Amino acid sequence: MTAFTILGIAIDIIYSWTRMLVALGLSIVFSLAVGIVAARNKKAEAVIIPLLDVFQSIPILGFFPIVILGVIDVVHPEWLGVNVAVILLIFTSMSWNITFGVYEAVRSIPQDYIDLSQISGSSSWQRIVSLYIPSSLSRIAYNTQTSWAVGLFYLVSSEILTLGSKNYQASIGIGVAIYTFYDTGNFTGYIYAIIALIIAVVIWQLIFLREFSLWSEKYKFVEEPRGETKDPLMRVYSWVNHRSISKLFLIAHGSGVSRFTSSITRFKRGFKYAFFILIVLFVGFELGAFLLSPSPRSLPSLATILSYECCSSQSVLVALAVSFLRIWYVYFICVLVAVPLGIVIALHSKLYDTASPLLEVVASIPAPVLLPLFVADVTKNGEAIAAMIIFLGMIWYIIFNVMAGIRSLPAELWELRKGFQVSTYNAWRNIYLPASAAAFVTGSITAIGAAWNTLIIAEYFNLHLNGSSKLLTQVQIGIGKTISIAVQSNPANLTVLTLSILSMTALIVAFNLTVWRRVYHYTTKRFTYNR
Amino acid sequence: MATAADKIGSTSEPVISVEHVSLDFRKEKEDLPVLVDVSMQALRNEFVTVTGPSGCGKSTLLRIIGGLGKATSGVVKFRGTPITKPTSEVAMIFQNFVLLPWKTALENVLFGLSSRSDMNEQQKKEASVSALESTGLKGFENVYPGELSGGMKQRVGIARALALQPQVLLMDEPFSSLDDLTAEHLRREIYSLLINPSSPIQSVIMVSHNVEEIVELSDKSVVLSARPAHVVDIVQNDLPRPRNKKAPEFFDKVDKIYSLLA
Amino acid sequence: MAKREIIGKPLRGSLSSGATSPQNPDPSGSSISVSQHSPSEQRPLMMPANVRAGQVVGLVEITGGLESVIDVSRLADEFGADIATLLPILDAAEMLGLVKSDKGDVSLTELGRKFQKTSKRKILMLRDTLSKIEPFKTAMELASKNKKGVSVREISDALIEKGYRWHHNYELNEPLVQAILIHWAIYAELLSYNGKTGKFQLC
Ligand SMILES: Nc1ncnc2c1ncn2[C@@H]1O[C@H](COP(=O)(O)OP(=O)(O)OP(=O)(O)O)[C@@H](O)[C@H]1O
Ligand SMILES: [Mg+2]
Repeated sequence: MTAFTILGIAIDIIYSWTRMLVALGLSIVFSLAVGIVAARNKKAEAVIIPLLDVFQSIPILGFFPIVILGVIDVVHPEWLGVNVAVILLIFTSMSWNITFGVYEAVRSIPQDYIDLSQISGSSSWQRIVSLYIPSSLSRIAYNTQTSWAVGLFYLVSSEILTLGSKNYQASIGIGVAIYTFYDTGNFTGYIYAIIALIIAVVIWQLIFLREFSLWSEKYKFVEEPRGETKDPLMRVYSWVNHRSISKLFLIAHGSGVSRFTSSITRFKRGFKYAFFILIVLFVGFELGAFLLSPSPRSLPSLATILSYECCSSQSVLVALAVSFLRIWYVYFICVLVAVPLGIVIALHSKLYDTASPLLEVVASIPAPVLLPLFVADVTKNGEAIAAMIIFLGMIWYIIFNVMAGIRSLPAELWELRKGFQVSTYNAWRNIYLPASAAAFVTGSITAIGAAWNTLIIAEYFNLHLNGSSKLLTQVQIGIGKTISIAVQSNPANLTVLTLSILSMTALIVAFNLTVWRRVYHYTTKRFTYNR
Repeated sequence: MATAADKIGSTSEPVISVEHVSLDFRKEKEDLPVLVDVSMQALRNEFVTVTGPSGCGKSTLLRIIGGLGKATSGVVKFRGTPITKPTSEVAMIFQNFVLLPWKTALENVLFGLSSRSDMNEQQKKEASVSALESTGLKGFENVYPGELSGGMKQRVGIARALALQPQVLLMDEPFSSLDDLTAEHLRREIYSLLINPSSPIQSVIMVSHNVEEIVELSDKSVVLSARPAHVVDIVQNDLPRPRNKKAPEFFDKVDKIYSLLA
Repeated sequence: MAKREIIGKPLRGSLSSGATSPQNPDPSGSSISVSQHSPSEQRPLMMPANVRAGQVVGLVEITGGLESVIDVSRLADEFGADIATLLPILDAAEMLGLVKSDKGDVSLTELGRKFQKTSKRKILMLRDTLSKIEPFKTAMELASKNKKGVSVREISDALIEKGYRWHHNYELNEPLVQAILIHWAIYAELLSYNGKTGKFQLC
């Protein structure tokens, strides 16, 4: 049994935070480079923006197994490789959001300033340093808060995921620590470690992120409205303007109609590039992995791919379909719980004041950390455990968005309700539910996106610690399981892995572009309360 | 041209009577007095305006009259009965219209009738259609608020209130979020729309800070002081209707109210 | 300023917005010569975007309440609106035959006086005039062909085809056409509109 010590846990947190900070640093550098180029170069913009959209909607966690295999092959020694892989994963979860921030900030620099810098004859480098970077700072700081919370989920998940393999493991880190306590049967240690994580998150929020944000304020050109709530943790879950939808669903985005229309054709064209580049990347990556690996794997035949055996003979596409249905049934349960709860909390100011900080704290715990709490008999309850993990990964997006939607309604609607003596039933049906619809859809899109990520852990997870192994989650069929098993088979089945991830990404992107985009359009058009 | 004095019953009991209403907002232990001993009456067929410096408590007073807010002391009576909560006898028109964007014009008006258990669906629909027609929106029943201009939105808001067949209409700066031309146009219609022999409305109380508008519309104008608000004066206005805004008497009234506000 | 000639309207100065003039899709200017040579085949006029029926009513009422001929800048004063806001409204009123304007002097026409005195739904008087103006003309033609109604998109497309557009951008033209149709055609009871289906029908 591993004992819980303050020093021990502090070291774990410092390790984890270091990974986060390195990833954040990389993200900021990347964002500045890509964001500024996209904002100032029309041709680059047409490629970069749609590409970022696709990246945003990819379930990054699904890539982790592939990334870790690739990185460990290339980077030695192994501990370094694992860390590089973890950092890379966090980086991918953090950077798109910040890049959009930089892009928007630089685009919105008043033309006067740009003219001025041109008149005064400053070089492009001077312009970057003295104009573009400073004016991006406040958006970077703002989006960092979101990115940090998202990154935290990936940090913990990826640390834990490394424990799913005998071959490579992160040795220190808060996610590792939590699972080690669990594995050695130290339940109090497990709980303390989670509490320590929460405390670290909150303190970090208060000292670093807030200060960063306050400091960056002075670089702002104009006061711009940003979301309804000032509360950073809450904003994390109400990315109304900051994540996939904002760009993927550019069409409904309120950031200036003229800007949108000029970019719509660009957007369409750019999207083709994006798909093309994506596919090239995949093929390239796969080839690279084959060439670089010390023991070249043989290419399996098409028949093998389609009837890939994970537990019984199931094809990748069937697994994908099953996972899709799994996510959607959990989503509906989630909606039934989260929507009424969110509305009730938001409607009652007193309840809201006490409940929302509480919810924020609970929501700041990455779902995989809680997995050990549900572990019962995996062989019997595998489906229920998976549903629980997916549920926890989704619910916050919906609750917080619905809450933000209701809280942003003006008081005059309440006067309307009172003045016209509208009954509770009528108020729910005609005011609250429709008024939260747009926020609800936003939340749903992000929630479903998050759910795809949780699959990797929710559908099949075999914990390897101290030589023993323990099956924590397992479902009959599912794309997450297919991926996990493909990674762990020796040698890893890269073909199935790539095929799974490709088809999963294609499904998500296609679904976003067809179904979600339309739903989002319709709800924002019809159900946005404005004067 | 009818003036307040011509109309029957102006000496009878008031429709709305505000009696010694005071209100303190409690803010972090400190009391913020907003209304101090405000008394006023709205008689039958009277168009009453309430004006005063910005932030003095006009909206607060109107909310109390409508039963939406509570006074710290004093009462508001509707035909002699104290008002404690909103009733359908007293209807509200809002500055920002407050229409539900997911409902068509007709549905918005119907929504205002949702508490009327004494009417069946058919009656509600008829009342709503005719309210829309009376505000000049015939043909616009199935249009969504987002597709209407500001003036038309406010007409839907007025129709929603009229459909209730209220006896008193409360309006908080109903024209202030409209552009000048549209406001002008709506203002011209509003008096005869609200106060006419076939209208159930007996009194209108309108908050406004536009002095010309006040003189144009009111039979009586209550001028409040800066916060905490007390009644500075109540100006009677018997100018014949329709009022000529170029007439010297009109200017006199405008000047009078300005001087009270200063 | 050749655009002005297309619609056979006097110039009132460069302040006036170009919104009233159909933008000829064919830059060769052939339609200009058509209108010059045979005025009877004039292209229909265009209702300016962003002008509301209520504003024209307001303008006529205010103009009627003043001396018989009034200077545009005074009119703007009376309105409490700036000239830039006033001009498109004046354009619309003139197009409808309610006011005459001559080098900045505005007066009511005979029709304008009648219009001013009518008390209920004045716009009904203008049905015939409106139905000869775009976008109403095209919208009514399309609606008469399709009993189930036509969408703004169809109307906007047909108008663009004919060379009438209120915004150079295709997507932004639609809401403008929709607003003009709603704010005029429904008032004048030329068309009815159902927000649920998004379709216009003949009344
Ligand atoms: N719920 C409240 N709690 C505390 N103070 C309030 C509350 N509502 C209003 N006040 C204060 O009461 C005063 C009067 O507000 P009110 O809105 O009635 O003024 P008003 O005369 O309508 O102003 P305006 O001209 O801006 O419409 C203001 O100073 C306002 O800050
Ligand atoms: Mg007020």
